[in-house]
Amino acid sequence: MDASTIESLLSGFYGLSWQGGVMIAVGILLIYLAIAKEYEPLLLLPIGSGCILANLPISMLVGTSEEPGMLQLFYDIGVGNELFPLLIFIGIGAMTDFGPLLENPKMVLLGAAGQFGIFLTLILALVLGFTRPEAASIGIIGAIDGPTSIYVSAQLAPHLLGPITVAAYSYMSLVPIIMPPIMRLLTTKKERSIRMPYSSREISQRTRIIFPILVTIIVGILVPFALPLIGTLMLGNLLRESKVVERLTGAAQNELNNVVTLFLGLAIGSTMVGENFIKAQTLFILVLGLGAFVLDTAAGVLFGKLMNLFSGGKFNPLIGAAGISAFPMAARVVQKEVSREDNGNFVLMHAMGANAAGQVASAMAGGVLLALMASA
Amino acid sequence: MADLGWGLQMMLLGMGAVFLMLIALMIVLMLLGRTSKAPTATAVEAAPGEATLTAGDAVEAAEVEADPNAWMTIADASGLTPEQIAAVSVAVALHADVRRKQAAPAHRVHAPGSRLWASRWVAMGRSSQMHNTQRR
Repeated sequence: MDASTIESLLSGFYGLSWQGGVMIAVGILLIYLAIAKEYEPLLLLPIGSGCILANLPISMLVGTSEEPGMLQLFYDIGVGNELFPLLIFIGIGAMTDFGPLLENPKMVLLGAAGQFGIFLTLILALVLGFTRPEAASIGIIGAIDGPTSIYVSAQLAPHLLGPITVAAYSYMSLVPIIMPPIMRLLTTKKERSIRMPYSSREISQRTRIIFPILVTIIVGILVPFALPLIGTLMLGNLLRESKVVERLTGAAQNELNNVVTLFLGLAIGSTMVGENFIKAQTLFILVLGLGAFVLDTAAGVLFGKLMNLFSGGKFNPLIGAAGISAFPMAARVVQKEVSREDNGNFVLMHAMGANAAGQVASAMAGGVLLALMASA
Repeated sequence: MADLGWGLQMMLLGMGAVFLMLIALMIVLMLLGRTSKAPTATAVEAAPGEATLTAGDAVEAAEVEADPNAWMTIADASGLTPEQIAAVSVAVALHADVRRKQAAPAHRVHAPGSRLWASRWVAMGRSSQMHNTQRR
């Protein structure tokens, strides 16, 4: 037995680094948050696991450029070419009921207001010294939509994919904690107590089927860059509303979504390698991501106040905060805040309409951002 | 400074584009909402005049005339009447209860969450523990 044999046997010890150790701790923290706190466990658990697997010395699962390991293969086949976020969008579309939005189309405007955070965060990122593509990628955290964030940042700044994804999903799980203080700060008790009558309108199946087809065609013509996101979202919704492909709908909602979520999480986790991740830049991204969520909520509430003004005091401004993509969590948070002031006040269906609009709007905003960056 | 100007320009263009697209979508959705009418209401109105009524239709039409609220429909795409939906719901609940009783051990035949769910033996034990009269 010569020295090289012993060296080979102990290569794991020789390959240890402090950065790897820190990232393993980060991975354990993500797994803890997923299991103990149930913060987006479907994503954070695979991301945490991927992070640990990628940071162990000489990780065979990452491999080398000549012989890529499993994690690298997942990244190449699904994240590098933006396939996985689109597949997840099919599943999201198959799970989403756009009925509340179709009942009250005016709520679409609140979905647009919820995207202000993207561009305000972009400006803040520029101020902090990030390049234009990096700033746009960080700004997209404000879409509050995981797949959109991954899709856009994989194109504009792939080297920031890890921190951006972790920020997007971590803060998304913290929506019930982040949003309420801002909502309370920007509204009065009287405004929060405004009751809004709700009259249920039956949406015919024909309308439900026409909706995804029409949205796909309109967006495809107006912003071709948004077509991959909106097209897949609406494809999933068409499967659901057609009611003739139950098996495909079920597969999109369950098998496809679950498998892709697992692969996506592991692939994202594997990008969080210590040498690239432990930087001041990562800390800035996490702070800016939080800022994006705060700005989105504030912009939504302020736009809600504007709608309240135009409606002669009949619109509850808190509903504006639901115009983001965190579906249906944002709508639930709004209802909870409204109930806090007046237990008998129900605005959930209005908030669900704004929330569904936020989903469409975030995908559109992602496409618009890509279109603007392509011409920049 | 140039970057800041570019960022502001991006915000104006970006938000402008998002708002314009969504306003267009809102108008389309409003038009779509106007063109679609509730099919059930017209069907009920047409029923008495139809020449080829079945016996079931006739009974339903009679019920419609008798009940002023009969035009109300439950938002269900399958086209089932509220009575049929109620009957299916009761059947499903009964079936679930039977399955639960078949699957659960003898002392857990009641729905979880109900007071009857707990075993009587456990309840008695707990009660005697809480009301322990034995002197120490």
